[in-house]
Formats: sequence, C-alpha cells, structure tokens
Amino acid sequence: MLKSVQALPRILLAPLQRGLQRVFGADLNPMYHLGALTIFFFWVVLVSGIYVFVFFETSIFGAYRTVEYLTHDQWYLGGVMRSLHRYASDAAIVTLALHMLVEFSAGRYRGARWFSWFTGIPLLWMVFPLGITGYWLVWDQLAQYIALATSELLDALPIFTDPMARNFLTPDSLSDRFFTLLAFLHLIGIPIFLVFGIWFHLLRLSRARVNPPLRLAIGSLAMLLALSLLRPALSHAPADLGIAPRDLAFDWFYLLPYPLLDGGSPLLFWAVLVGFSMLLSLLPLLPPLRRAPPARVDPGNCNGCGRCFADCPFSAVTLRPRSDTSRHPTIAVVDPELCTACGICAGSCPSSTPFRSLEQLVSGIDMPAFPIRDIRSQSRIALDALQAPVKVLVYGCDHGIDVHAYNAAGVAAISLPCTGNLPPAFIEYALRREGADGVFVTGCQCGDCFFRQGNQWTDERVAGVREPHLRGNVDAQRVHIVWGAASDGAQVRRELDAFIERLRRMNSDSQATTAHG
Amino acid sequence: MARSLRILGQSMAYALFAALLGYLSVAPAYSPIAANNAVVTLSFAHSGKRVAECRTRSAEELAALPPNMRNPLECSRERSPVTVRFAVDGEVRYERVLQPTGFSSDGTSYVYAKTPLPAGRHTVSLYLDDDSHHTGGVYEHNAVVELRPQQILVIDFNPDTGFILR
Ligand code: HEM
Repeated sequence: MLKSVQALPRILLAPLQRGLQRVFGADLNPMYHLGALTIFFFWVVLVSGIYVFVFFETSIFGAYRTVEYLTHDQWYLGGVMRSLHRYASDAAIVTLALHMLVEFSAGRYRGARWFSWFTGIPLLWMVFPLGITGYWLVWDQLAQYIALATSELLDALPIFTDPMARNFLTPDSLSDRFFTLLAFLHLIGIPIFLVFGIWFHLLRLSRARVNPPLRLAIGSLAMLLALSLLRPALSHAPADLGIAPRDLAFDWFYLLPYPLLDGGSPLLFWAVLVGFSMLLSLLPLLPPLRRAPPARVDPGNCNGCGRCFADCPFSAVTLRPRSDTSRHPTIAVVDPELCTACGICAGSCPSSTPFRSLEQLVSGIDMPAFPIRDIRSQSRIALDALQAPVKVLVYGCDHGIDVHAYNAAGVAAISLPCTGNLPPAFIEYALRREGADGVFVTGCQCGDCFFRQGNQWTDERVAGVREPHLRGNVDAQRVHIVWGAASDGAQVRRELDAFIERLRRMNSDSQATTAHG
Repeated sequence: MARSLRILGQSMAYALFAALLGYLSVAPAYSPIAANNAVVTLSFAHSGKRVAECRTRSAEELAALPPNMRNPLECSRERSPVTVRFAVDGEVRYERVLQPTGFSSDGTSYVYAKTPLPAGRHTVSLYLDDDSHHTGGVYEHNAVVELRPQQILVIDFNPDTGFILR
C-alpha cells in the first residue's frame, strides 16, 4: 500500500527528473538540490527584502506609496528588488513542494529519519504566513482581501473576543499600530522562527547541503532577474474599504487556500489544515519502518580513528573517551536512535579489510544484519562460481538498480545496503586475491544517494582522496563506477557490457604480451 | 549531449520555471464576489443592559465591609444577551442571541456578519433587543438602500443613535 502511494509522485515526477537530468547532468540536476535551492531562494528573498525595507514606510498609507515609488520611479533597482522578492518567494514554494514529494517518494522520511520530516512540517506553518503577511503589507486591493479573509479565519478560532475583522470595516477603524504589528511579524518575527526552524530541520544531518551548486545558483538568480525585468511585480489599486475587490491578480503559490475558504466555513478550513498537518506528522509511522539493527562497535577492533564519525551522514556516531585498558584514547559510540543502518561507517573503518587473515573477520564498527565478514564470504563464493573467461564482480546497493538482474556466467552481483558500505580494500581483494578481472560498482544516482553520501564517499575513496582509499597498486582500468537511479537499469547494463568487453580485450592483449615474452 | 544542446536545454528549463512563476503569481485572476454583487457587513460592539438593577447598601452592610470596598451601590455585573436580527427584502439573513463575553458575562457582545447581495434596491430591516427583561431596549430600523456593484455597506450600531448605515 505505502509503496504504491510513494510510487505515485515518483511516476509523476519521473519525466521532470529525467528531462532535467539530461540537460543539467547528475551534478547539477535541480531535483537533487531542492532543499538547498529553497534556502537559496530565501537568501534572495532576504537580500531583496532588506532593500525594499529601507524605503518602506510602515504606515497604512505610506506602505502603498513607498512600494509604488519603488516599482515605478525606481524600477531599475527598487522595482527589480521588489520583483525578485516576490518571485524568489514563489520559487521557494515550488522547490519546497517538490522537496517534500521527492523525500516522501524516495522513502527518506521514516525510521531514524523521521526527525527531518517532522521538523519540516512547522516550516510550512511559517513559510505561508510569511508570504501572506508580505502581500498584506502592500495595502492594495489584494491586501484588503487578504486582511479581511485572514481576519475572518482567525475570528473563527476562540482567540479574540472583539473580531479582528472589525479592524477593516471602514477607513477610520484602521490603525497604524496594527500595521506595525504586521510589519514586525513579516520582517522579524516569522523570519527568525524560520531560520531556527531550518536549523532544527537539519540538526540530525551531517554536512547538510544548504547551498546549491554555484552554477545552479547563478542560473536560478539569472532566471529570477530576467523574470523581474520582463514582468515586474505590480500592486493593485490602493485598498478601499468601501469597495469589495474583484479580478484580483492572485498569487496562487501562497493564496491557494483562500478561495476554498470563500466557498466553505472557516472552521472546516482550519480542520483541513490541521488534519493535513497531522497526517503529514504521522506519515513516518504509517506504517513504522522495520529498522535493521544499528551499527555495532567492537571495542577490541576500534582504534578511535574517527573515520566513521566523519563519514556518518546522520551524525549517529560520536567519539568518546575510553574507559577500558586500550591504549587508544577514544572509541566510536553509535546512537541507535539516529542510526539508519546504511553501513557507511563499516565501509569507512580501516579494520574492515578482507586481507586480514582472521577466520572470523571482525570490524571495529559493523552492521549486524550484513557484516563485513559476510560481504567477504559472499564475494568469494560468488567469484568462485563464475565460469566465463572474463569474471566481473558487481557491487550495488539496495536502493539503486537491482544488480541481481546482472548475474550471469561471468558476472556475480552483490547488493549492499549502501555502496558506501563497501570498504575500498574489497575491490583490491577481488582483483588480486579472488581472481576477478574487473569490479563494477554502482548505486543510487550521484547526488541522490538514498543515504545521502554513500556514492560521494565511494567516489572519493576510490579516487584516493578520502580514507580509507583504494591502493595505487590496483589497475584503475579494471574498476568501473557508474551511478544510476533504479530506473536506469538498461543504461547501466550497457555500461557493464562495454566494461566486460574492455576487460576481454585487456585480457587478450596481456595474454598476447605474455606469449610473445 | 553536446554542450550547446545542454545549454539550450537548461535555458529552456529556466524559461519554463520563470513562465510558471510569472503566470501563477498573478493569474488566473480571482474574484471573491460575483460580478453584480455588493456586500453588506453588519458589525458592531454593544453591551446589553445589566440583568439586575443596582441596590443601595444599608449603613450596617457598609460598616461590615473593609474600608476600601465600601461602595454604596451593589451591582450585579451580569449583562443581558443581545438579540440581533437582520433581514433583506423580508428574508432573514442573520439572527442571533449574542451572549455577553467575559467570565462574569459582563462583557461586550460582538457582531460580524457579511452578506453578499445583488446590486440594486433593497429593503433592509434591523432589530436589536439588549434587555432580557424586555422593558424597552428594543431598536428597530428599516431602510431602502440602493447598492452599487462591489459596494460594501457597513451597518453599525450605537445605543444613542440606533443603527447607522454607511
Ligand atoms: C523551508 C522549508 C525547507 C527547507 C529550506 C528545507 C531544507 C532541507 C535541506 C537543506 C535538507 C538537507 C538535504 C541533504 O543535505 O541531504 C533537507 C532534508 C530533508 N527535508 Fe527539508 N526543507 C524544508 C521543508 C521540508 C518539509 C516541509 C519537509 C517534509 C514535511 C521536509 C522533509 C525533509 C526530509 C525528509 C529530508 C531528508 C532527511 C534525510 O535525508 O534523512 N523538508 N531539507
């Protein structure tokens, strides 16, 4: 049931995802940077907002006048800033909505990862009021509509005895004090909560990607600038409490719920909003994820080097002073509440090397469900069973392409929880010890790792820029890494076939050389 | 994909995003009320009459009280609920018995009700009773109004002048 609910947004977003992948490539695909893009758009909102605020007069009539001044008299800067402010806010809603859908459809919100999901929901309750109060501040006809509609909504709740809507009955019921309160909410109150909210949202992620790639940021800014120049944001006629506005140029990104309100009761509106938020909050429990057992530290094999601490994408590993007799001062400690059982820590542990001649290979930190010694024995058995002249060992992950589909006479595939679970020494081991002709590594699309950083760490370990690294005595031509989404199976198979073909040629070349020698 | 094609594709993607933002931030236009409609807003704040008359305390009663509380009048704070009725062309659009606010039921009663009406001539009939003993305290007002499309007519109330249409 859950799988099919998750599949729906995935299927709907797939064409967008694929189209963007083709033109932006994996590194810059905006779909992999949605959270960071949302933050980037908020930066644009902040900077443009500060500019607009410099000229803004927080009084009922001053507000409209100063915004008009910026829009028309100072169109080349003030007007552009105002438009940037509006369009970046709208863009943030688009990326935010996609961000939620993508995290949901990828299943990255359950188990130990419920926290980011759960703390995302209050952000919605901040972002929308931020936009709505922004439109209110202009005090044009749209603002007048928003003021009355919002007041009527709030009046349905038992908060005020004197209905708030009565502030907007006639021009003399308006007060500058109310306006100052509104300006405070929009300019300081909600933004401060939002900044704290985002910080909290990212608290359990290590190295959260808060900035999009530079080229994506520049492209997005250029897009917003072009739009601001081509279609500058404009105000409606000034608010007139004697006239009910019509034909409002409506910002559907922020104001979509209001027309629903006009058709129904405010209490129903709140019920829908609160019900939807509660449903979202409960989503990680519908049903709860059956969690694999968390990583386990073996004190005898942990020397406190800190690589697992550095590589864990969920800050589940910390280093603590040791209390035993070991000569190492620190030991890794796993917080089971935070551990997603990705195995990246086991892949980072220098003791996870298959060359150790222990009968029972035990690593300093390991996954009870699929320990390093099982990866070693499975690799051995799989390679032993291969019959073809070219033998290739494929390592993949449970969230990318189904690598078992590649099993063949010359190909043995092993699927790990995450490719980052693979200690690079296993590649050397397969090639030098177990007779593999090549090792093919695949996993989630680059930038879209289910466990956030598994493919990045693998790339860096194999390239020798991250510890533990793949040793230089391995023939780089016999190692091939291809990242791809679960739906890229056919494409990756073509890469695998080409790799096998290359290995075949390399083998016959080296046989020829040996024969000549 | 060739670099130039990729750049073209990226530009198109940005252009589509911009088009989405440019369009949905202002369109389609929304009209909260129908084209030929006006709005009548009935809204005021009014305190009902006190439920009980004030009583004069006797000298003995006053002497029994602490010096700072020797108020010669003892008044119950409770107020009457306010009954409001509003009809247009003989059809009742709003009718409530508004309870006084506050823990001691001594607060003001508030009305806020919005009714859309087609523009044109209408007869508005208003009724208010703020005394639960029904000894006076009834206000009635009938008026013929000519509403323009989109006009907002506010009906206020003040015990001195009765209903005010503006
Ligand atoms: C102001 C709005 C938001 C911003 C700026 C934001 C930003 C971010 C960022 C930067 C990340 C880290 C990405 C990474 O490094 O892997 C993230 C992750 C995440 N966000 Fe949001 N987010 C917002 C709202 C939401 C909402 C509303 C939800 C869902 C209700 C949500 C759910 C998640 C989830 C599930 C993750 C992934 C956690 C994981 O990988 O374990 N976010 N967000």
